[in-house]
Amino acid sequence: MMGINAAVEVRNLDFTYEEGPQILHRVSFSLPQGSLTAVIGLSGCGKSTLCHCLCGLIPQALGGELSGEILLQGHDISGRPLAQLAQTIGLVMQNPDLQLVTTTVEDELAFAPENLCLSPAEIARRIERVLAWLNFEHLRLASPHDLSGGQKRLLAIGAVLTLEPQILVLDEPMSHLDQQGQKLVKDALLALLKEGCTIIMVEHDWQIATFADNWLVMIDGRVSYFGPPADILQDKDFLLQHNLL
Amino acid sequence: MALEAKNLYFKYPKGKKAVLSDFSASFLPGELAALTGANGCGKTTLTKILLGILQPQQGLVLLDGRNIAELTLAEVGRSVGYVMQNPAQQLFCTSVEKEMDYGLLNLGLSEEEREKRINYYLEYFQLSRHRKSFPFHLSLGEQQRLLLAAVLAMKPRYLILDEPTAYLDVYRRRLLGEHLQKIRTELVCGIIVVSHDRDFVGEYCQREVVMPGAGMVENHVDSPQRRAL
Amino acid sequence: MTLFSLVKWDPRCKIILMACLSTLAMLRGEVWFLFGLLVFTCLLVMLGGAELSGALGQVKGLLGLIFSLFIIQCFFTRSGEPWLVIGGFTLITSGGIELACILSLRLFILAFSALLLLTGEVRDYLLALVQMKIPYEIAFMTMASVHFIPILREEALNVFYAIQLRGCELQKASWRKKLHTYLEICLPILVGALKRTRAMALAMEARAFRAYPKRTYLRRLVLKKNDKAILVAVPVITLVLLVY
Repeated sequence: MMGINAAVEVRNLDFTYEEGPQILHRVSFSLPQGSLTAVIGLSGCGKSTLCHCLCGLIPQALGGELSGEILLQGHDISGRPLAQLAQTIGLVMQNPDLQLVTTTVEDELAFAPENLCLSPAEIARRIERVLAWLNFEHLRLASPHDLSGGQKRLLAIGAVLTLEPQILVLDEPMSHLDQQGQKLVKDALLALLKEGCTIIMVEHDWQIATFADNWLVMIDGRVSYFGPPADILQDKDFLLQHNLL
Repeated sequence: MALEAKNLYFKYPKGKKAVLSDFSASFLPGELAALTGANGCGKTTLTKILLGILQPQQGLVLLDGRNIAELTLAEVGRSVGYVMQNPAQQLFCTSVEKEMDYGLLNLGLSEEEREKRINYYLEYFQLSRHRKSFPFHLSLGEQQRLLLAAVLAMKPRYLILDEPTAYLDVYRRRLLGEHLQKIRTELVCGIIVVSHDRDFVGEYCQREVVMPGAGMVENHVDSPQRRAL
Repeated sequence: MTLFSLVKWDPRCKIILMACLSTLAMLRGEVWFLFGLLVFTCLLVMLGGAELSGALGQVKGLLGLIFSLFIIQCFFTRSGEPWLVIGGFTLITSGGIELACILSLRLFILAFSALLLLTGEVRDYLLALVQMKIPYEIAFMTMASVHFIPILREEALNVFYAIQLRGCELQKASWRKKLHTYLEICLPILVGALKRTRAMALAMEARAFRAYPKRTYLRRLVLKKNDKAILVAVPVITLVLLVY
C-alpha cells in the first residue's frame, strides 16, 4: 500500500544494536501528509529507536545494523547528512538538558533558523511565533539553564519548531509538563498540522495521545496496530493484555 | 515524627522574587502526599530544601524533630530517600549491581541481606537482565527505574520523588504506584511525590500540597547550596 | 561611583582592551610601569560600573596562588644584592623580589582585565567574535566552554549530593576517604560528560548545524561613535607604550 502523497514511508525496517538484541522487526507503515500519528508502546519496545531511524541518527551517528527503506517526502534518506535531513525532519529528543546549547532563550530559538541561512526578519518572525505559542515572551532573555524542568522541555520543543520542518518527530514531549504546558504544546502541534506539517509523537501515556489521527501501537519491536485510536480503544482486552492501559 | 517545613522563605541570590515565602507544610510517616503546582513554581527547590541541600534564608526544616541544618547529608540520606529529576546526574557506579549495593553497603547491612534486597528490587523493576550493565548505557526510563530501586532498597523512613513517573510507561507507573502503597503501609514510610501526572496523583496519593505559583524559578548555580564536602 | 558604563561598550572594544592590557602586562617588565597599569585597570573596572561583589570573590581565590608564586620566585631567583642571609646561605635577593613583584603584578592585571568582560552577555561576545571574522564553530565552542563550566560544576555537585544521600559520610570523612570517593566517581562523571558532549553535538546537527557553509544571524552589533574611538585609540596607545 503505497500512498502517492505519503510524507513518511517506512518499508521492512529491521534494526539490531551492535552485539545487542533485535529492536525493530519488519516495521512498515506509511503516514499521509499533514497527519498526526502517536506511537504508543511500553518502554523498550523500540519507539525511540524508530524515531532515531527516521531522522537518520541511526545508523549514521548511533551505529547498529539497519535494513529496509525510509522515504521522507518521497526521497530515500540513506546516506544523506544529518544536518541536511534536518531541513525535512525535525526531532525533539527526550532529555531537554542535552538539547539546549546556547545562553539565552532567544538564541536557542534562533539557532536552527540561523543555520538555515534565513533572513533576520524571517528568523524574528519564527521566534515571535514560537514565543507566543509557548507563552515564553517574558523569558526571552533568560538563560535556558535557569529554567525549571518543564520550561526546559517546552524550550527544547520550541527550538525545533523554529526549524519549521515538513515532518516533526517528538519523543515523549509531554512528560515533565503540567496541564497548561501540555495544552500549549498540543495547540502548537495543531497549528502546525493545519499548515500541512506531518507529526509523529511518541507517547507511553495513551490518554495524552487521544487527539492523534492515528495510533501506531508497537509491541516488542513490531507494529501491532495502525489506525484511528477510536477503533483500538474499543478492543480494551488487547490493550490490557499488553499492559498498555 | 514528621518531616516538617516551618515558615520557609527562600530566594535565589539573583532571583527577583522569592520562590518560597512563609511556606509551611508537614509530611507524616505512612502518608503518600503529592506536591503539585505549575511548571517553574519551585517544587524542585522545595525538595532540595527539605533535604538540606539548599538552605532557606528564613525558617527551618525538622526531620523527626531535629533541625536538618545540623545533620550531614549522609545522616539525612539514611532517613530520607531522594530521586532527582535527571537520572543521569545521580548514577555514579560502574555497574547496575554496584549502584544498587552502594547505599546498602553504607547502611552496613550483611552480605546476605544486601543480596536479598538487590535481587528483589532488580526483579521488581525488571532490571535483572541489566545486572552487569554500565548504568549510563541504559535508557532514560531504565535509569529512572534503577534509581528508584536503589533508593527504595535502602528502606528510608521518608521518600522524596521528583517526577518519578516522567520516563515510565503506563505499566511501570502502575508497578511504582502499587509498590509505594505497599511500603507506605508496611514500612510506615512517608512519601512525597512531585508530579504533574494527574492520574498518578489521583489514584495513589492521599493528600495534595499545591504550591502557590511564583513565576519563573531562577535556578542559579551560585545559590547558597551546602558545600559539597 | 560610576563615571561611565562598561556595559554599554561594544563587546569588541572590551575584547581589544583586554588584549591590549594583557599584551602590555606581558611585554613590559618594569615594576613601576606594571604597577601603574594595574592601578589603571582597577580604576577602569571600578569606574566603569562593573559588578564587583561577585568578581572580587573570584580574584580572592587567585590571591593564594599569586602569593605562593611570589614566595617561590623570591627563593629561587639568585640575582642582584643579597637581602636576607641566614648562616652564610643567601635566602632572598633583590633580583628575586623584583621578579616576584613583576610576576604577581602581571597576574593581577590579567585577572582584573578579565573582569572587564564580565560586564557583558556571553551571546554578545559570540556575535563580536563572529563579526571579527572568527569562524562560527570556533567562536561557538569558545563561548560554549565558558558557558558550560558552571553547568558541569553543578552536575558534579548533584552527583556528590546523590552519593552523600545514599549514606556516604563525606562531610566528616578523613581526607583519604574523600580522595578515595573522588577517584571512584571520576570515571562515571567523565563518561557522563563525554556522553553529554556527544548528545549535544547530535542535537545541534539535528537542528541543521553546519547544513550550509555559512549561516545568518538574528542580531548584529553596530559600533557607536565612542566605540570606534576606543577601537582606534586603545591599540595606538598600546603601541606607543610598547615602543617607548
